[in-house]
Amino acid sequence: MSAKISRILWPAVLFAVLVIIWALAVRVFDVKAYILPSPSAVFDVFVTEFRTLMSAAGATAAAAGLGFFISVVAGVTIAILFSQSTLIRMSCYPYAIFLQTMPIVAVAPLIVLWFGFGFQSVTTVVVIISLFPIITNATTGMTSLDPGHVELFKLYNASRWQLLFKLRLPSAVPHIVTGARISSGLAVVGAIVGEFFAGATDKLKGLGYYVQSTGSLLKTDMLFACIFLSAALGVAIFLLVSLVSRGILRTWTFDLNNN
Amino acid sequence: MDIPSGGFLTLLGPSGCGKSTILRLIAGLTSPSNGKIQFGEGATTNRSFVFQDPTLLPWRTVWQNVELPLTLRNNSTSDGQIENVLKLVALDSAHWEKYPRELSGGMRMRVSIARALVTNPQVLLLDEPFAALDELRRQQLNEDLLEIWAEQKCTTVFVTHNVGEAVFLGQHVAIMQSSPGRIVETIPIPLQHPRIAAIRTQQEFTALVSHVSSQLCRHQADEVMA
Repeated sequence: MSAKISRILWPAVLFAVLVIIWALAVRVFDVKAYILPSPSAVFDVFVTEFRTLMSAAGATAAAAGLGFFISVVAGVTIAILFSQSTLIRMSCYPYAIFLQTMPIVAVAPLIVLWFGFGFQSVTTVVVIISLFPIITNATTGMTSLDPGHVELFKLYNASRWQLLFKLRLPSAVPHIVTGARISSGLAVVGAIVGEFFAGATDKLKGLGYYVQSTGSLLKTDMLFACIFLSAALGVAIFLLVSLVSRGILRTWTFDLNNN
Repeated sequence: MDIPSGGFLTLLGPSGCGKSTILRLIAGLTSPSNGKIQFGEGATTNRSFVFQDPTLLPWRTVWQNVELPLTLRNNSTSDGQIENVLKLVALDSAHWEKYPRELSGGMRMRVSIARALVTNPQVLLLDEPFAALDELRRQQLNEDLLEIWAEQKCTTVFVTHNVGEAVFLGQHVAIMQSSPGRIVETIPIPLQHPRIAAIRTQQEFTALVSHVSSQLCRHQADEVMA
């Protein structure tokens, strides 16, 4: 059996075993459905509420995706500013860390106050939570240049702009990709948290909204479906970003000493 | 010290004696704390440097790497010019669209030399460019470098700590000593040009190598005594 098949097969076997144990436990101990619904009940919800769940997942994915995109663009732009002056970097960096350490759950209600219920607030939460890894990674990439390359550019009297666009930015690409990989996972978390607080409009009902509402209504089967779907969405976005980044990094390999 | 226009000087000496510093001073990468670097007419700006490492940009192809100095100087880039230098360093056109990681160490160094030549420098400075290569590739590149030099007629200063290399390449070998770093002796190398590989086995060559070696050791010993 090839290694690739076993890497999928064994986790699948484990999953099946766990589901069976779960189903038996619910039956044997007669657990109340609002504490732990049976696997078949969760599966039923997936079927009956398929359209609701899919549109919820779509709304969450849209907010996470847009927020992630804004984070990448804004994060790289901020890192460019940071790379241009030590003064700017020194003055702003503590606040970037402040942004990171702030518990998002504490800030979310404030964001709802400012931006109202809906997509814009959810996206803002996503940006706040996924911006930091991009800024730090991109800044590191743009400021830790190969000294030989810097000398080369100095030798030909390269301008500040040439240094930025022909050396700093390309050098930072692998770092930016790493930052984006971390951010993509955080973006989904941010979208769910954002919807938890700000997702309650008629138009927009994301997974976070259903987590919040079904939880308080004790519709635990639906809650389970939402939790599984959130995790699956996170994995899907992470895989997508990993796939794209692997393609980028292939062109950008830095290992010049492999011969 | 004087370097004649179009000449080939090799700087030889122990590590830390300031060989690289002299090159960096000539290149304008470092400013002198004392004294002056003067150039003959019209030769001041057009200097090129070949670093110890190839220092190629990994995200640019061979062609794009060679093009870089022209882009940075906002010179109009002519394909012919790039093609010429790539041919001059004997790099087969099959490699031109490859990325540095796909090349061997010797080929990367050839690209690095092509990049230095593309601006048509009057002064070419090389800082132990072949130190990381094995002996055979080093010898091959030495021969090729002499051919390039004969064709380009640029003033060349080559730093090395390999006596054979210094003698094979240089019209003069300048021996350096550390603390304080200075040139203690300049030995003329009266070998005929063009020099070919076979020269290495001739008695005249081996005699010169042993002479330079013994002078190098003698100066080292003086330094230890002092």
